[in-house]
Amino acid sequence: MSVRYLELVCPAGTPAALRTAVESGADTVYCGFRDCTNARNYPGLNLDFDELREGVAFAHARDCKVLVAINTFPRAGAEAPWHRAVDQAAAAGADAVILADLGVLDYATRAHPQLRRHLSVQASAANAPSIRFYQELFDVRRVVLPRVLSVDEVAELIDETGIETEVFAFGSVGPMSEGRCFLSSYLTGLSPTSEGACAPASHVAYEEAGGRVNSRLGGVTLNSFARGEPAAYPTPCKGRYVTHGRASYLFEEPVGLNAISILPGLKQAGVTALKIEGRQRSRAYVAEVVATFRRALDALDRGEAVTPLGALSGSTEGGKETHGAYGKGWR
Amino acid sequence: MPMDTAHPLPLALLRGAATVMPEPALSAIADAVLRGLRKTHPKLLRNLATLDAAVVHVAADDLPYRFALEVGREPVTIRIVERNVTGADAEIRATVATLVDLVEGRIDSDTLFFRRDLRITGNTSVVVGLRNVLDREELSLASELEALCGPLAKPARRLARTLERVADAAGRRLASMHRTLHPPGAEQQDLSSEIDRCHSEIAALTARLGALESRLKRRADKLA
Amino acid sequence: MSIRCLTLGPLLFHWSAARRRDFYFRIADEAPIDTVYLGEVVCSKREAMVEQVHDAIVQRLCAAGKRVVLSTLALVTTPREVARIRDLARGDLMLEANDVACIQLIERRPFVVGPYINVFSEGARDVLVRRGATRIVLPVEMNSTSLTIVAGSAAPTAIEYQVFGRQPLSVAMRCYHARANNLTKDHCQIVCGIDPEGLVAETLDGDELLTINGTQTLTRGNGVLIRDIAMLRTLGVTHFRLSPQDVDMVAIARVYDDALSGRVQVDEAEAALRSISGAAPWINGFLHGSAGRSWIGSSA
Repeated sequence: MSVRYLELVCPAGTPAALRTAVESGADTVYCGFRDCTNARNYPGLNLDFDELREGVAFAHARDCKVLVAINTFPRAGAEAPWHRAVDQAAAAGADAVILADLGVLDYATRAHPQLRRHLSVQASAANAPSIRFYQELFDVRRVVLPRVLSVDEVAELIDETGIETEVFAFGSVGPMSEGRCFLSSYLTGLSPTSEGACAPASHVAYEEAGGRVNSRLGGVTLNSFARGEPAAYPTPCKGRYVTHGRASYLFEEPVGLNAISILPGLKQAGVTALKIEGRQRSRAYVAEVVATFRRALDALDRGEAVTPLGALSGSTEGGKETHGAYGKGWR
Repeated sequence: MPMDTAHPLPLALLRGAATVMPEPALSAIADAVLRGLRKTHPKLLRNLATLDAAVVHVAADDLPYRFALEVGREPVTIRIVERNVTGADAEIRATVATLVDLVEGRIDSDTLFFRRDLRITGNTSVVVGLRNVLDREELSLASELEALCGPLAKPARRLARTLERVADAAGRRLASMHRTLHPPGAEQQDLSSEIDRCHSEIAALTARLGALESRLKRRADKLA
Repeated sequence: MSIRCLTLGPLLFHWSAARRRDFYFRIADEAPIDTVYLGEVVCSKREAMVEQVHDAIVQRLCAAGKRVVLSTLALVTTPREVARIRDLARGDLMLEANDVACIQLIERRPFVVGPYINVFSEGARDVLVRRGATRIVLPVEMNSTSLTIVAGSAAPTAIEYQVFGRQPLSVAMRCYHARANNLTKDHCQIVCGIDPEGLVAETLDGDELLTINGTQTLTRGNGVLIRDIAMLRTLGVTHFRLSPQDVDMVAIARVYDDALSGRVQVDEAEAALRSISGAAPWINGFLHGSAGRSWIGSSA
């Protein structure tokens, strides 16, 4: 199975980033509201209702779609902000909402049946029966696949379910099953699943000592970088731990995912859309990564050579790139 | 994308000004820029005021002063303080060029962080908030500074163009040095020794650039 | 007399077939436990190694009057893993779904929602109840404020919560046990079997922080909620889960049973647990809305 066109889905952490993404060649942008209803709830980031409405108008005028991520899990007794977010996304004219929680999916299905629903990576649907569950119950039209599958597995899932899939093409390598990782709240008491921030900045500290920089989360030492050594995000899964008396990146090295050199394989697998991760990144990142992928996709459409890895290594965590789970040997 | 090209105008003006001007005059300029931004980017000032209350020191490695930005209150203020002043809630350190690129949204702060070109200590939350709030705006320090110059804008632009040529030459020199250090296909050298060599080269270039800037400044003053 | 609300969660660590048989036979014969969850949650590669004792364990537990529920994988990706759950769904025993795939494959028969499916709100709970969930094991990250509402009197289902044992923090495709031993997942030699309570991962400054169990990451500390069980019951928790650790789980179960039935005071129960709960420090932060690794001394 093969599709005609790979849709480029790009991050918009701010209105400026949204415009940058659209102008750099995005087919679709995704964003979130300025609260705990999305998984990038960092200070100063995201859009309010008016900004979303303006962003939708700007994007639609340029044939670009807007998706709204409402992809955290509400706490009991406090579901109202999530319901309001769905209502506002619909009112702002968003093309789809990206949801994870069963209750929020249920609400959106009942309250806005006409609003397209995508399943967030936070729902961790990595197999055909899970996808069918969400299709049957909530008429989910697209699944953002977890970053744990190989290209062959992606192809099998598409064959079996016939659903639109969106896969990560660039950004972080998430080694844990997303949406159900409690490591950050184990250290900080704040939950990424409910409060929308893994390694919340309020609990991150860097201290310099003896020419090294140590990063801490919730008072726990996650890493220590020598001079000139590339740094990693201060998330627990990118920390360095000691097992058997040896310090190592037990979960994942500071390395970024870049699927640019395997785009033909993903297209062949029947993938509908490519997701660029990074609503938390600056708009300079958005401009560079989106434009690079735009060129690569256009070249792919013309049947030109594959874009090799390397062009974006300056933007990746640790300055290194990987195919992550798409490639062999990552597991 | 001109990701790595320095933006010479504000950079040169900043560095040139900082090396020749007394602290109170610099503080006045910084404050005037902020007041200008209040008109040109009202949302920026509102957003800065809604951050957690904090004093953030922005310390350029190649400036004798640091900027003390007070956010999370009305009005947001900026002052110039001595390099060795402490007591900030958070501290951001990088070169002037990097800081200008950051403010103008020309470079990604996470990339700088991964490369260790941007160092953060203290209240990380307010730094992240500050970064995000700045990144929401399309800012040009050059035009803000130019607007300040008023009738002096013309000579300022001329000065900037001259400085731009100097900076470009320095950039080309750096690039060729980079190629020498990284001959294609060669084995990776020891990173820290490379960085040390780069640092001393940059220090030498900066000193030369500084001298040139002062000379140009003197000449521009005479012209004006 | 037992009060029939204690459960034994699925064994998360990889113990040998013989060891499992001995362990569960003793549970069947001696432990005041109502429901026993069997089955592999962490890694499908382990299943074949212990299959030969499975039927005997089920028979012994059923004969002893225990309710047996089969737990399923938390992260399902391969067609073989899907097929395995489909087979289990055709059997007579109730399943604990730890991935939404399992709910789909059960096809509207009653089931238990495991702690690896996110149920943090009444909205999510109600979707699952409509779909046939008769019991929900809440995620360990749940705090008492949310628990009050999800488990509250209106809860149309039984509610279970883990009150003893290391708490599961994440599941992954990668095997960290293999990585820590310089092996790959495909050629892992089932190295996770070496550590009956997992492998401790320390921070760079020597703070024991996590427990590695194959593809799963657990807390280093033992989540001991003995001081909280009375409150949990008031909030609407109907079943209390003990997660098997490498300690005398029969003795642990007796202490919890004594405390739940009111035969001993909580201080006495806590003191008894201190001497038999193993070397891992106690934690209870998640329930109290604090960092999960913390210990909130006196019950809030």
